[in-house]
Amino acid sequence: MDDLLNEFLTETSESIDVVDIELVKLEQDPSNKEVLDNIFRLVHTIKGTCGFLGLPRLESVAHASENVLGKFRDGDLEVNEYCVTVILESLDRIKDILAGLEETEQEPEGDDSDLINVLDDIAAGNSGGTAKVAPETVATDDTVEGEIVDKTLGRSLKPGEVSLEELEAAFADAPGPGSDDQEEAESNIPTVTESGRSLFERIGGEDTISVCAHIVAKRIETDKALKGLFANLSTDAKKAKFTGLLSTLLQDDMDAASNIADSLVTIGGFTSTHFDQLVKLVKSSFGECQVDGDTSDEAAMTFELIRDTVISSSAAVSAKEAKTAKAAKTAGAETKRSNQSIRVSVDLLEDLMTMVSELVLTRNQLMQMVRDVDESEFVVPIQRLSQCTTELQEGVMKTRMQPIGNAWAKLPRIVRDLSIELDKKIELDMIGAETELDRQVLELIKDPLTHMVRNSADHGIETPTIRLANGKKETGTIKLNAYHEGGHIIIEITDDGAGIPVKKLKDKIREKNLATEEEISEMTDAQVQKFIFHAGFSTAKEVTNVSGRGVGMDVVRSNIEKIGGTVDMNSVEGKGSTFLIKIPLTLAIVSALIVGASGERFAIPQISVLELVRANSESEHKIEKIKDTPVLRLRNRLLPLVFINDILGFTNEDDAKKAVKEVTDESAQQMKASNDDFIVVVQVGTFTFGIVVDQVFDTEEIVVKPVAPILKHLEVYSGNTILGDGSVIMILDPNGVAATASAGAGDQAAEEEEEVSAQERVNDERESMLMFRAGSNNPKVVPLSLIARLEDIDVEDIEIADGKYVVQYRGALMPIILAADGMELVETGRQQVLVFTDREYTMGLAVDEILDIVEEKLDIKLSSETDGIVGSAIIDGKASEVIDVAHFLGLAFDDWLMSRDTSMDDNSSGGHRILLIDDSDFFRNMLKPLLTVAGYSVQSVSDAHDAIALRDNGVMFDLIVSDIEMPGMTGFEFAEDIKSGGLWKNTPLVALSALAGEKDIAKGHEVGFDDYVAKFDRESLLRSLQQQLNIKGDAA
Amino acid sequence: MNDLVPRQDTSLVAQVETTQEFVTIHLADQLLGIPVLAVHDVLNQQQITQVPMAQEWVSGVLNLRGRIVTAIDLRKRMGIVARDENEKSMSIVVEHKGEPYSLQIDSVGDVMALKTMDFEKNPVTLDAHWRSVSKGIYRLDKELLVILDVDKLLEFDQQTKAA
Repeated sequence: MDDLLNEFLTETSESIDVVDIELVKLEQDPSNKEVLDNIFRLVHTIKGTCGFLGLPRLESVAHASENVLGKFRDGDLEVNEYCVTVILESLDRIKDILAGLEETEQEPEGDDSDLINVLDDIAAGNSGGTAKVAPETVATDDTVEGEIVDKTLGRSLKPGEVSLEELEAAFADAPGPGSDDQEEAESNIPTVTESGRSLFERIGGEDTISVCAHIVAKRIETDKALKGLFANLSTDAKKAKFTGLLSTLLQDDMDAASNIADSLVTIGGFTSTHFDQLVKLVKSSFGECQVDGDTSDEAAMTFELIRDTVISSSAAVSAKEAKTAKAAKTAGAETKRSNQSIRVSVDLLEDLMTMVSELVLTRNQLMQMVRDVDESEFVVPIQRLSQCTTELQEGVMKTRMQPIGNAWAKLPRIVRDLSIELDKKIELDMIGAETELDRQVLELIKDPLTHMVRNSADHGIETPTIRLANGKKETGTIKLNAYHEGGHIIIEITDDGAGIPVKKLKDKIREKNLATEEEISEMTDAQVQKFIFHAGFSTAKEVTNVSGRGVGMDVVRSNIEKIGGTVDMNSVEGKGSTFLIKIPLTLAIVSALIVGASGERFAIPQISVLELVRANSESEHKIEKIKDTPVLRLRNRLLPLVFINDILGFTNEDDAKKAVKEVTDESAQQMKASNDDFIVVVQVGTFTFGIVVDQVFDTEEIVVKPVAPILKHLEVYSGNTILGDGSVIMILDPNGVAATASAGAGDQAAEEEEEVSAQERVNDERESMLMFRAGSNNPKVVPLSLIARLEDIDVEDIEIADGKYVVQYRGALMPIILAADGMELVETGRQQVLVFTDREYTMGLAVDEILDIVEEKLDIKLSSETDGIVGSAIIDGKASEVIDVAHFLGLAFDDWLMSRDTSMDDNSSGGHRILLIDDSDFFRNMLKPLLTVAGYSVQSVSDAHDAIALRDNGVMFDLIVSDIEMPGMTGFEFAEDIKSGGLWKNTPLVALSALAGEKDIAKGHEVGFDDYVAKFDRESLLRSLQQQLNIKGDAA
Repeated sequence: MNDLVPRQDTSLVAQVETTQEFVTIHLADQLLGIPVLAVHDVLNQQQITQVPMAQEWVSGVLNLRGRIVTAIDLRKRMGIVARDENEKSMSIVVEHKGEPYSLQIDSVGDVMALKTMDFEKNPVTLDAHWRSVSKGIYRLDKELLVILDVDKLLEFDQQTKAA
């Protein structure tokens, strides 16, 4: 059978089954748009495909159903029981036709006009119950022989298939047995033995033969030995075969006879003994037909001529049976096509794959064990096991991979048919058909691809006259190109047609109310063109067979996105369109280069590796440096390099700098000379660079597995995999490495933190901290920037006033607060004090001992409930408490903080990014830890101009907290600027100010602040932030 | 119909006579418990592949019978001082949203069937981070057993995005 037809049958029967179920669902829930869309799509596909295959009956039925479904979808018709029944009936009809199609390879004849009329009536709105359609019996039996005859396909007859012509000939020759009269007549024929007469005539011609065949056929069914071997043939079929066989044999037509003999036995295991038995049967049947002994012996002798043929054909059958491991014992004369391949769920294959990997591991372990033992008796069996395992592994892997060409196989025919139908000249160019794709992925992109090619042919390519008028070649080209790139499979579909008409699209957008006039006018052409991916969008003026129902591109997009891919489009009016489908490699097997870095192994997809270079200061390839950027001279080109150890953070910054220095430093170069550098030259898109690795191992075929969700954000990895030896290994994504490297390169070039991307700055800002001990043994820390001075004061100078320790300090009284409960001032000598200053307030914090100053990223892990402690952080490897200076200031000065509540909501704030603008270093340093503890990611700047600079650099925040009173630009001016437009126009803005009078608040709201919080009210601030973020979240 | 109610929801509140089984874990000096049904596997020390650049409490990935499992250093995750390099560790494999995770711990103790009446909510003064991943405390004869909420423990998504 035609491959195309075969595929169509399998696919369509699957689709129909789905539609059946979905329709019932729809009936129960008529408003379910998703179900309806799905049904519509499936029926649309069936209709479309029928059109190409030239199946007018199916097409017309499907078309009529689709019309009704289309009305449902547009809301013109209501889904009701009657309509669904009729559609279901039409599905049954389609099934009938399909069954006929499968049997005869041709559409059975029949008239569907009654059904179509009913459907059309419904579509026209006359859903009033006309008479129920009686399902029409399909006249498959009357079907004339298919035009797509076996011979034209060059396929030999299958075992079990009797050529119909032969059968018919046999039937025609025999008037049919069973009539007693005839038998009577035959028996009356004088049995003359005349040597001149042929054996055929002597036996009694066709009549006798047909009677004999009848007897033989019946006998076989009662014969123990032979029964089983003919079990797959009906009595009539057996009779027909023997009639044919006998008449051809006896007439010396050896060619025809051996043909029949070849197909006589279709079950394996037919031996010589069986043949003898068969001959005996035939002989005895001759005897019963009054054929004389000599003649019947002679006739039996002719059977010897076909003995070998019959036995060998049976043997061939058994061989085939063994090979396909398929029992051809189905009752029918022919195995159903759809059963010839079985569909296995990918899950099952996945499980199989897992088991195989485990087998490999166990095998490896065993091999390892045996390797250490000399002359072990296990060596040979384990080798055999190993062999089997490897083959099994390869087999299982192979089951999942298919060349993309399989999905393209039906495209040429589709394009050809289309070009005829549309009267266009189209050439289809396919490149990269051998690119291997995971089976599952392939299945999923098949339909989208077909759709897109169809679209290109229908909408894209113009008619020859128009093409010539536009100065193009008469023949349009659709180019398909598939290739691997940077861990993805890219499929390009390019046509040199008319492109996507922007104006037409705009009209359509207006018509469908998908965007306002204003929005449309602001859109770029590319944005407008992207609208073709919207559901229910089609620009074709007429609904044709080919396309134009608006199920095209949105299906394409959703199918591709389902497998984590993307589809992009680039279209120039008059020049043509290019669609770019990018599918991740997640499911695919790739070849990877295994490299080593700092003792760990990593895989780099071989597909992006161009070459390997071994660099050595003495060889022609050596690593040179421009400023701090390492490069390699490679064939008269400079290749930028990245050190994998840097990218992966194996070396910290200092080491990295040292390493770079080493390379330049003359003496270090000598040292380095002993160490070769391996450079993997990779290409990402058009960007080529070298990755310097410590070691290069080998290449391995790996199955890419996605990384766990918690590692998804690491862009340097595209996945991970299990190597043959059972170890897990991370797969580097050259794209991500390049991205990381270029970010790092900017850092190096500028040598200033300023140049680091704002994102990095928010995350990696390091703080200098003073570490001290007070009260307990746990170290406590405070941001160094908060501390004005460190003093040690003679204890004798500390006095008590108003129940508080005070000291005369620089001409004023400075309160001294103990840094921890239960801590005491030293009894004699000098007391260490940290002096904090905020505006006119100065306070001393007495501590037991100042330990160290450390530079760490302030990453507060745990918030605290204790007064005076913001939370704890791991600093310098130790868990340290971060003290809350504000608390102590409050203790020292009653008026510093009016009222405060130490309990803090530990509601999760979801890691929102907050920009904090305050000119007071103190406040910035106090609020930052506070907000960090509440779960925000905070960036602080000291004046509004800096903030605006950040905005202009494109940094985004979820919320901005700004002081009002600031030098240069005040908070009010800042707010006005922000709200007047730009990137931060919609970012919530919270004012934080000491000026919290009613007038100030009113003014704040006027200039655009979303909320106004008094500066010292920590709790309201947190509440306000949460509120604003919620509002924003709701709006989004 | 009672069978349909998720067990942990009811068991912690009212049912007096019911018991629940927990696998106990030693982590530093603390005894922790995980509902026995949540534990998929208990592993001895495994070969772990480091994942550079990952969160610090992700100690790497390992191969568990053909599945790639993300290993979490529970000490780091819980903010306890890191284990000595030579000290042996064990792992408990749990699943979160269909993904397997291996929690590296010091050692595994017994499986205990505990009465609901011995159960108590987290003390309010408990460290906030611990409070967020603990379902409550069982009063054992000699020590206290902190029941870990595996889902909360492995809910990194938000933090990951913030980082």
